[in-house]
Amino acid sequence: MALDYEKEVVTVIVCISMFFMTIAILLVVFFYLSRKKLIHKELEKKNLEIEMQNELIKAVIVTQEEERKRIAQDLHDDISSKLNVVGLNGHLLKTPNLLPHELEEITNNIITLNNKALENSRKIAHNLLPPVLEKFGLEAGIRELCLEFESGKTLIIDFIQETIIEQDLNRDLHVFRILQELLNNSVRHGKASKVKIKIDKTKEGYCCHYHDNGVGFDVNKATHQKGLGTKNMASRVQYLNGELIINSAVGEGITVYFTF
Amino acid sequence: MIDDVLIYTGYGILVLNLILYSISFFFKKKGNAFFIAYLFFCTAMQFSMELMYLLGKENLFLGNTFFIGQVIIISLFYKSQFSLPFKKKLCNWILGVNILYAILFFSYDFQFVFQTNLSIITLSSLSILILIYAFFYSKLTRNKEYFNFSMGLLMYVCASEVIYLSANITNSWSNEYKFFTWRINSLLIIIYYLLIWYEWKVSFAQKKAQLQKTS
Repeated sequence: MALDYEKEVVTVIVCISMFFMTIAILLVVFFYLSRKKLIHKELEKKNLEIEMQNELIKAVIVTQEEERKRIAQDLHDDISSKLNVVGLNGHLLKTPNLLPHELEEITNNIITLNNKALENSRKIAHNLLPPVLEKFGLEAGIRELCLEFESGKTLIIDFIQETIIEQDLNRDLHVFRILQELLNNSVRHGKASKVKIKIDKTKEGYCCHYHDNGVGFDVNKATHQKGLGTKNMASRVQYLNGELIINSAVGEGITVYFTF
Repeated sequence: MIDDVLIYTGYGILVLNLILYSISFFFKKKGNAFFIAYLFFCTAMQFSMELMYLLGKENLFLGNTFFIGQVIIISLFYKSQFSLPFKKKLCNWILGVNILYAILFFSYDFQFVFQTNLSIITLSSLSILILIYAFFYSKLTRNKEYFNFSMGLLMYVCASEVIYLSANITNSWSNEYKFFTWRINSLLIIIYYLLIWYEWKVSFAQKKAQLQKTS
């Protein structure tokens, strides 16, 4: 009788023990699977980040190459060609028995071409790094940029600056380039006639609101999302540790918000 | 006969683990000092209990020493594994509560040292379970070092809890059933020690092999 009781209790003990063991195993399996899932998600996130960074790097390289091509073309068309003609005129000066009016014509040519080459070289240098940005800061740089675009008489720009921006050439140049890209797009693709730019202060730094009344585009279309200009702007904003939001719809212009 | 095989197999794996981990720690500078201390403590306790048993003396006080010592070393081990201050604090609290409870409990009646104390067993086991869960949580996105050991400890603590708690009841039983529960405990210990060995193989032995492959 006592043995039957002992046998029964032992069975209960063994069953409870196995029950707890099973719970422990299930908990371990649960932890293991959760860990696997979390690591998988983290890996996916990292891969996505790497992919995005690669795309940005690619965009930067392509932009850099295009910029180099443009500078090379500017140098070739505006400076080299003119200096060639100056050289030719210089050789003409060596021609014996030149009449005074011929001499004067050649000299005038050399002076005119030299002035033009000098002016063009200034323009190229200005495009590479606007001097006003370095000397007077971002506000003056943007105002000059607005004047340049408004000189075409097709665009009216309303620039509002609500705060004083501390000068930081590296940051200012990126902001300037972003606005330059936006204005170029508004004129070239958006056919806009009015643009509003507003710079304000935020808790972390500054923000810029940009709006035009152009034709706009569908932001959900991949071609617009992955355009070189957009990628270039995104990489600049990312470099400034900011945030970039682009909103647009067909016929409603474009609204861009970025922080820096 | 089968009891001896199970018990001595457990001892054998434990000694093997102690040697392997000691080699990794002292010669290859890998591993954790508290973990080596834990293995050494387990080995010392197992052999002391065996010796007392062979000498025909009561060894229940060693059982109490084992439970308290185990929770102290395990708390220190997990404390060294955690990086968050909150978890380190948790280890300190668990350590403090267990030591304080043991002091108060045995000061109340020192004769308790020579008995199986259910509250000591329950408190130490629950403390270890809390530490293991905190450890698992911290390892969700990090490396798996000491994961297998913790898994073994969790399974052993959960499954053996009932056996230890029923020790007072089964003590007066006939040999046939009294030793049956302890036979199961020996089997659980073997599984636990094998998982400790597997931990060494995965975390310490394999790293060496991988290094050799890449070099």
